[in-house]
Amino acid sequence: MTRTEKAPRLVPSIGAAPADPAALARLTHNLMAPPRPLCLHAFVGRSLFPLITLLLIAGTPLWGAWVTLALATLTWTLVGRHG
Amino acid sequence: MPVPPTPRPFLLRAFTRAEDVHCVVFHLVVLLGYATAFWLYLHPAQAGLHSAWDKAAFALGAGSLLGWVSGIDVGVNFHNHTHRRLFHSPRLNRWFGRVWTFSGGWPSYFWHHAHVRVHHANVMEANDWTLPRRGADGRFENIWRYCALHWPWRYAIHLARDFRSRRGGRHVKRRSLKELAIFAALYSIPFWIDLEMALCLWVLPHFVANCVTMGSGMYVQHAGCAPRSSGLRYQHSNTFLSRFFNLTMFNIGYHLEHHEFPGVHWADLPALHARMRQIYAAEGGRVVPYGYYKAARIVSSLTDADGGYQRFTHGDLLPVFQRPAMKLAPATEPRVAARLPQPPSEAAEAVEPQAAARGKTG
Repeated sequence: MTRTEKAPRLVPSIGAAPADPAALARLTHNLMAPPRPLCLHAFVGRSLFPLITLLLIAGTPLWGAWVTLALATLTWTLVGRHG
Repeated sequence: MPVPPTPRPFLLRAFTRAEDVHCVVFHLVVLLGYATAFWLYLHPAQAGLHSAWDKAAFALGAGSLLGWVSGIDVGVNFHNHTHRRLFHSPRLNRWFGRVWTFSGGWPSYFWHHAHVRVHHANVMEANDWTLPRRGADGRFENIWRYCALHWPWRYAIHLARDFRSRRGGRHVKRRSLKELAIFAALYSIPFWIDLEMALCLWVLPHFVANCVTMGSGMYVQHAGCAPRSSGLRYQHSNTFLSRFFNLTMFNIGYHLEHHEFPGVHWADLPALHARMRQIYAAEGGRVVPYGYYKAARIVSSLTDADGGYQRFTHGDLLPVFQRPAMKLAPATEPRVAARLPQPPSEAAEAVEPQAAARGKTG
């Protein structure tokens, strides 16, 4: 375990039936994501959609508004099928 | 003996979790997208927008893309902030929230109220007005109807009613008026620059963000589910396991886990899911192998709306989770809790093959 940050404060679901404290503790004990939070892979993955948007908009002077519209439609189609 | 925290770079010290830098980067890229689109629209010669048709094509293409990412920016990204604040400073949290949601057509306080006080506190119950209306059989209204009518019309009516009746505390009414004024000041900026641009590249994207992205997302998160009050403890939300979807959408697909433990950080939800799989296998948790986008495409089928809804709510559930749900009386809860996996997470992963085998034979 290389991760040494302080464990998050856990808040049981608002409005839920009162949770068993022992079960809650077991489920969330030492629950931390793997390290490398700022790696490039995660950065590109998590910002992929706004980066695509920015690229398509900023590229309009190069390829024209109609290509931007076509690429936007293609993006919507692909994400709708596979997202 | 507790391990001392690792020193973090200066710029990250303001954050409660280092992963949240990605949330801020996401929002800044969205704002940069808006700024770029505005600049191009106001400089048609440089942008190659020579005719009114070119401008219309650009507005449609850029507006739909900006709406898509704005919907994620508020519905997923700011959503994470409402449950677990990004920064240590309360003032920074409050102001960053305000600057976060105005580019999605929302005052941050209003969205927080609708999501936390209404949706999370009453998920799938009758007074959760954020969700689609349900028929006598519990089935959601048509997704097209929900997306067309919910934002801003139903939201405005319900929010006004809640704030007038001081739902959430006696300061709610005054706070809502203050936040509305701040939102109006921020939201009006593009209108002061150019009215036509504001309609095409500000209002249109917010329509897409709320009616298409967030509306369809809210729909599929809970379609086919049942409230806790029905006795079905773990069937109030759907979980979506597409890896690509969860990578690009801040793990929002782990929705059942999120509603069970809203205080768990979004980066930790996959680990929580691994620990909860045994419960799902026993209690009939609802899990599908894809993401919201594909789910929304299935339920919004124009040619076979009923078939699409049936496929999503029943046909596509992963086999291990298809076992008939048990009705749990409150008294049985400790017994179920006693079967929960023990840490570390390897224990939870080890039981998965057994659970899968039980699912096949059961």
